[in-house]
Amino acid sequence: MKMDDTVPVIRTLGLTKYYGKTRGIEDLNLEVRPGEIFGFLGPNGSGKTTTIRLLLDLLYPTRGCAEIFGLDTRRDSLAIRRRLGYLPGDVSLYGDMTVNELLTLATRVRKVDCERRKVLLAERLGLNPNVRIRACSKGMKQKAAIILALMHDPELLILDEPTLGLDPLVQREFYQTLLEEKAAGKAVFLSSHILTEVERVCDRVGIVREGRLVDVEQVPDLKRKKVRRMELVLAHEINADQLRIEGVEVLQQQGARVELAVHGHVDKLMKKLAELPVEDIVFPEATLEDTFMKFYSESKKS
Amino acid sequence: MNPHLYLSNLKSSRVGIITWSILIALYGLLVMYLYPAMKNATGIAEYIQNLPEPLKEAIGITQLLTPEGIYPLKSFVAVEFLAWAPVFVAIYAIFAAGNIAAKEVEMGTMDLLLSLPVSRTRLLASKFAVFITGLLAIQAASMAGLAIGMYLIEDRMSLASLALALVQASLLVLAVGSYSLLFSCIFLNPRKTLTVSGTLTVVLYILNFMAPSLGSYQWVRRLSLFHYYRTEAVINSASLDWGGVAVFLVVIAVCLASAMLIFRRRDITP
Repeated sequence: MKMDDTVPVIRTLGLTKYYGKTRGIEDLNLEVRPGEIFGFLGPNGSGKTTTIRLLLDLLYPTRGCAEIFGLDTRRDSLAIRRRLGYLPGDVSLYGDMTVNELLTLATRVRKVDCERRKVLLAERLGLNPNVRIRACSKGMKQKAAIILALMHDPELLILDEPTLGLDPLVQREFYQTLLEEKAAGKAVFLSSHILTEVERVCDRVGIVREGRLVDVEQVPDLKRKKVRRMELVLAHEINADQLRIEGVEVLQQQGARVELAVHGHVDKLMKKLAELPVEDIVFPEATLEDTFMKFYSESKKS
Repeated sequence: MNPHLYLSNLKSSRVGIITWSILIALYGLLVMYLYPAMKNATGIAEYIQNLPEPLKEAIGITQLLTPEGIYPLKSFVAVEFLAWAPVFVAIYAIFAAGNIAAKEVEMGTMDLLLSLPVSRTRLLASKFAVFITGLLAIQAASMAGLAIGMYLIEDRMSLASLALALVQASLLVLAVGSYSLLFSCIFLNPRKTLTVSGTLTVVLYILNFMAPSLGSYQWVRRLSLFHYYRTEAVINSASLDWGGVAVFLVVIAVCLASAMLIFRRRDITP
């Protein structure tokens, strides 16, 4: 079936799930468009997996509804599952099967010929499909699950923490594969708690925190908004006012050691630092926590 | 039912099915092997014959000795094999059917299955069909063990009656498997499922034995599935006990329909 460009691939309307009194996700309204990679970013326990399980009809919503390809996820679950690929967050496969047996079983149940893509993906990810799953490492199982999600050429990929257990080289190959899928017009819904992963491949990002969608951003906007901590070691103590630049906040100063919060682009700060007696800089990747603190404080203010 | 899921599940269950089949066939052979030594030792038969009537009814046998005082093969097989074998096979049923939904959910593999385009009802039906296949294999092995044993001892009883008694036993075990599947779908937790199914089976079995001594409360026996498994009637009449068959079929139908209905509406949470 051809994807209709005017219909959102995924649409949720007030989607809510409670486990008894425990909140899973609350009043989720979002849309994923055809041909986009949508990142669903949030810390553990924020409701990402609950949302995915609701989309896959593994959970029934307490309130609200969800549509995939314009079809109701509860009523039309079978028709939807024919057209999507799913990678669970915690991959569990049958240990007594070989990877190939598992992939063959899925192929037969799907009644589609996946042989060519199966072989290509296995080669690309460096997985021997004849190995018994019981003997596979976590990374190998993850690769098998990725092939399982992709081999039938689905129109939508729902991926829950897809790079868990993959080494950096395979991660890069996987990101490249996702970009190729996107170029082929497929949509991807990718849940992650790794900011850099989302920045690298996604077009838009939904930020979820404590079961609520805090914001939906284009990735360039997210990059602008993100906060990074920088620690400077100077040759001697300076006046903190020298570092009062747009987008830079002095968090604390102890003698010649200064800790900064850097918002967005760093070009002005770098120019300023060039004028200062800098001995060392520690500038780690932005953590999700720092970014979330910003979104959290902004949502509280509003 | 989905044939591919059925075959795949059957393949992964084959070791258990083959093991159970070999054990039950050996048990059948052993029973037959013991018969020549026991047929003239009518003291044991007399001892059982002298047990209280309700107790004999409970094990499904009221008349062990022939009027000539011989302990016939059909009575020996009924007491030593047919009265016990369904209890052993019920253990297989509790594990095999009880694990159908619960174990897959606990292992996390249910997510994998339900990401494929197969309905929950078909998924459950495919897995229950594997259980039925296992049960048929075990009962066929019972028949084979007893038949080979009978050939070796050169004593005879009606194989048709024996087959009918095994059909009646299969329906009893199928009923046990059906409520185990129901509990599996209710709890989605293997330990809880096995505990509840196992306890219920033991309670039903004991109820059938104890009820005759409960005076005016003897009617509670009718609540036990084992009350409807009367091997003597089947072996002597060479026809199924249709009353018992009807009870088993109703229990199977109600439990399976409830299991499907519940599983279709359940949250799948590992």
